[in-house]
Amino acid sequence: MKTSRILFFLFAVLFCINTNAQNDTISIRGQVRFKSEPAEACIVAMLNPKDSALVSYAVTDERGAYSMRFISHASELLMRVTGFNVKRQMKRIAARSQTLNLTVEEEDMVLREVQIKAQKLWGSRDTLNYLVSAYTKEHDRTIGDVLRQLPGITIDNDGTIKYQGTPINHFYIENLDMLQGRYGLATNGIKAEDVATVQVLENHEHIKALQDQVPPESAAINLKLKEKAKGVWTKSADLGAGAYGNGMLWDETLQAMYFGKGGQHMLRYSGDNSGSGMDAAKSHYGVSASGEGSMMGVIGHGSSPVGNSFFDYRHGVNMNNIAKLADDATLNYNLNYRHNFARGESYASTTYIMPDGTNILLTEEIADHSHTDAADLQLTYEKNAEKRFLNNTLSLAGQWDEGRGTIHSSENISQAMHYRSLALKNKTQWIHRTDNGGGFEWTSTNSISTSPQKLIIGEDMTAMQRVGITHLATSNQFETLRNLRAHRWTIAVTGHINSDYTALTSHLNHPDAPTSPEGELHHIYTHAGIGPMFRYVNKNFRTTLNLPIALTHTWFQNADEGNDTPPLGTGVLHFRWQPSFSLLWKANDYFSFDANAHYGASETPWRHLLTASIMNNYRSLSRYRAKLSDMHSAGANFKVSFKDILGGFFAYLNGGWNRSWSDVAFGTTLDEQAHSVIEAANMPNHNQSFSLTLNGRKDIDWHDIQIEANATASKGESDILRQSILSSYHSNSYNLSGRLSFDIVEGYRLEYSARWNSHDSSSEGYQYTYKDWSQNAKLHLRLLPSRLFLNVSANHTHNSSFASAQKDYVFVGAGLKFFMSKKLEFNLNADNITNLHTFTSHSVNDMMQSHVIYQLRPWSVMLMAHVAL
Amino acid sequence: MKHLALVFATLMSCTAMAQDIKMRQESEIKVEVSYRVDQLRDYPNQWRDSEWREEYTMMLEVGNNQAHSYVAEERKTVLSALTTYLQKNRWHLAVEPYALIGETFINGKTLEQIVDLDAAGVFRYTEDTPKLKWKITDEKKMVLDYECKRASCSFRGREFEAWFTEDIPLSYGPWKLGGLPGLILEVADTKNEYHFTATGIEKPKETKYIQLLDEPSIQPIKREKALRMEAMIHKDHGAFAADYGIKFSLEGLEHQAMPYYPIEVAP
Repeated sequence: MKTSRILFFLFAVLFCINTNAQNDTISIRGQVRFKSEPAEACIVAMLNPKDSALVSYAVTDERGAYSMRFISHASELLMRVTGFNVKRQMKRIAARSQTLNLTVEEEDMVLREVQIKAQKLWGSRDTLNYLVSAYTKEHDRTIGDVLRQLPGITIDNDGTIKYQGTPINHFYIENLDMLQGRYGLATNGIKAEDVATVQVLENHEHIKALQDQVPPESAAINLKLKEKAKGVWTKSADLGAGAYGNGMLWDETLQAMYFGKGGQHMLRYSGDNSGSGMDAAKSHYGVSASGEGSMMGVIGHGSSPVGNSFFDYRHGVNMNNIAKLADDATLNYNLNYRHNFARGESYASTTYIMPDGTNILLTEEIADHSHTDAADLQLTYEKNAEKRFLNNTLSLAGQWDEGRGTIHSSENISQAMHYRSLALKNKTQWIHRTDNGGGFEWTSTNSISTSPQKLIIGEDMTAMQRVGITHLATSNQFETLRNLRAHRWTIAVTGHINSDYTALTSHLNHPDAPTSPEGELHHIYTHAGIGPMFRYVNKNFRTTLNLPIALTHTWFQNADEGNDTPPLGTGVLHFRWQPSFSLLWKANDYFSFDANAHYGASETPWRHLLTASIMNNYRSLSRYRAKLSDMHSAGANFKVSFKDILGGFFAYLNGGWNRSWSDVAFGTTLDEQAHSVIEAANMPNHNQSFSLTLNGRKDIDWHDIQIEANATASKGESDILRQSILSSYHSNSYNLSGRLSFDIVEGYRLEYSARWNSHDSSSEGYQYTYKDWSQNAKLHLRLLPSRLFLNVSANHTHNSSFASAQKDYVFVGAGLKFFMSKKLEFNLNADNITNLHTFTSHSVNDMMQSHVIYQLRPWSVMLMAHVAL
Repeated sequence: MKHLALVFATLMSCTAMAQDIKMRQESEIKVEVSYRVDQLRDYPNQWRDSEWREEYTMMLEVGNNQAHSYVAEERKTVLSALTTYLQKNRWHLAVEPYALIGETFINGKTLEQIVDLDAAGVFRYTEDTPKLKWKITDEKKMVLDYECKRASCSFRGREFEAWFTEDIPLSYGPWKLGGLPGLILEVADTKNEYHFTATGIEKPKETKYIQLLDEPSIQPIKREKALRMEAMIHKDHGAFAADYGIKFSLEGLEHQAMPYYPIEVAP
């Protein structure tokens, strides 16, 4: 009995609880309709009336029906019905189970739109991605053709790639830097259709262990390839034959590339006599061994700024390889060889302005040719991990130059030049970071080179100069690293010890240099410094102040055979202070600011300490005999950059100031035949320059318009020592240039560029102004879609300073491109159709005016076949 | 007009190829949403001191009770694979396979998924549109200038956390994720191996339709088998390809297991 009562009691309690629970469980169902049909995919939501918190919701099905079950203790609920293009409805309802049918109305939904990002240019603050397929025009073949069109990116005539006016610091392909600065091989060799995106990595720091430090101003480029181009050998051959006014033309390139997970390879042979002049294997950054350069040379024909004045042929072989030893370690070698032959002719008229306002005129008919053989091997090991970085690069380079030339002026001169150089350089960089962000960076660069050279002059003048230079150098730098993320203010210690040894022997036979024909110089320069580096880092604002103190020691010995003058100086010790400042601020996604300033002092370089006479060329002798003194320099630079990724607009404003001053001036003394002697004199002198550049580029989708404009103003003043008189020389130059490209209609594209230049120069008793402008137009026509393309180009130059000579030059060229299939392409190019044989250029600088008439390549026609093997 | 062209700029290189690929037209697109997909490819290991992550672009096209989402980069590869098959009667081979998200088409209660299985071909499976059990909180944040609420759920072996906006009354999101009372603008799994973030939302400026791949060479498959086959590609790519008649060499790496973190971990 008792048990049954307990059970009944329990049952009653449970029943009450259940009833209460069931009373709180609400079931609402119904149908939502427009007037005549069900409203599918509408969202029916129940909200708490007090705070509009969501209690439950359901989505209507194809019949407009919905149902929901939920628990609520409220007495009322807010029912909200929404849907795309459905007018929102809100209704108070009793919080109980029921069936609710509603009728809704259509209403155009207003969306707060944000442009969708499946488009050709997107990026965050530090990385821009360009979708290559969106920028590739039908006539573009290589990735270099497309890079030129990407906003923010420019490629100079020598192949240097710049982003916002600053040369890039790395060129990666699939995140690997195989070419170590010879990226022309990639821009000329990789097809645009094999590249998916081009990434621009702004303020790129390659070393992972330095990612938290102050990044460099320059950017890097990374090509991301399409899947089809990865893991396969891509082989191609370019074969060309043609003719020009002087004979036959040929052009061939064989290339094989592989980009895989474990490594990359690139093999290339190229050769041509088309006079294009540009070396695709030119090194734009990296570690390269090089000799000391030539101290003398053949007076040559120069290079015409317009048209083609290269009568040459060249061969080049390049082998590049990078192997991934681990995810963060690579081994890389690059082997390059080139053989060039160049010849040309020109007529030069040079007017030297004297301090008293008189002139000396020199006219020369120049014909010369040269052979160059150069080879270099570079071997690099790199481990680039989060807290450890080790890079060792060994570079070996050799160059052999043979030059010959003749000059017809008031005398007949023959010239022969021999130059050899062999150089070895090794650079090691080691960085170690601790867990709390500290660490150090140590860099050691060591090099040795030897450069024997000889210049022989004959016919109306007999002279011979022989020089041998040996150079050894070691440069060692050390810097402590701090955790810039943990502290806003940090102080690091920097130190360095560098030493250079140069040995020079010279022998001269010259009619105008009876004294000091023999020279022997030994020069050791040692520079050791230590100092604090103050840094302030606050998110995207970073500034560095470097205050090193240095001790320099110079020891040199000049042997001056056959002369009573004793050698100058022995050992000299100096204290130096060389502060520098830099600032980088990424204000927001649009603006960034860079600024830097420096002051430095250096000693007279060994070249200017020579007491022996050196023949630089047939009409120039130097006998510096400078005393050891300081040369000071100071400079400041700022840059404001703007980028609007979505709007496709890039711009920058760049300004700079540089000043250098010294107590020793180097001046020329000219005779009536314009033969000069360069000597040093104790005279305080200075040079100063200012420059300002404004550049902007905008892309507009309508007719695919690209507009770019550039304005530069620069002002310079320098002290020039001539005929033992120090004169102030001033120059102002202004330059305006612009480029416009657009689709006239689809398949027909016009590119037009124009440049105007004005240059004023003045000195006491002398003033000169000249202006010139040039314009270039290129028309691309699609004759058959994806198959046949024609391009016609015209270049016009006008120089107002030519009084009687031809002021205007027009060059016309044309090209026909035929894609026979995906693997075979033909190009027929005609150059200089108007068959201009000469071009006259005019330049003014440093109290000297030059008129040069270049011999140009006459008309030429070349048929090229490009085959993908 | 140009925006629409730009929307398909990622497919521009495949346009010529896509002309030969059969498509099936579905409903008119009402809204297009672009997402940035931040996907983990591998964790730090003996070869790598930090995570390896890649970024892709996902497009979501919402029609009349239909939603079509795909990763732009993956779709390009699928179009390329179908074209290769049409021209050469063989399937393509990915050099670096990784877990693919695939192309999803939700049509009311039915879901179609296109999967690229490398040397085996391109396949399609269908399943019931998943009904995700979301837990919604009052926590709020702004995404793309829209006020969003947080919701979480478990789905196919992952815990997802989503941010959705009731201002856009579309119960869809990237991939198979949806069923909330508003459009999902951001969603990630709790391990952050997959992170989708909306980067744009627009109404089409001209009439456009959802276009689905409809090539006869796309074969039907069961979902579980597709997941097993994708796992096999990553376990031994060389052997998998050889099973389908394609022998290749990757300097010895073709049999090495690849990192594999699929979006669907469990059935």
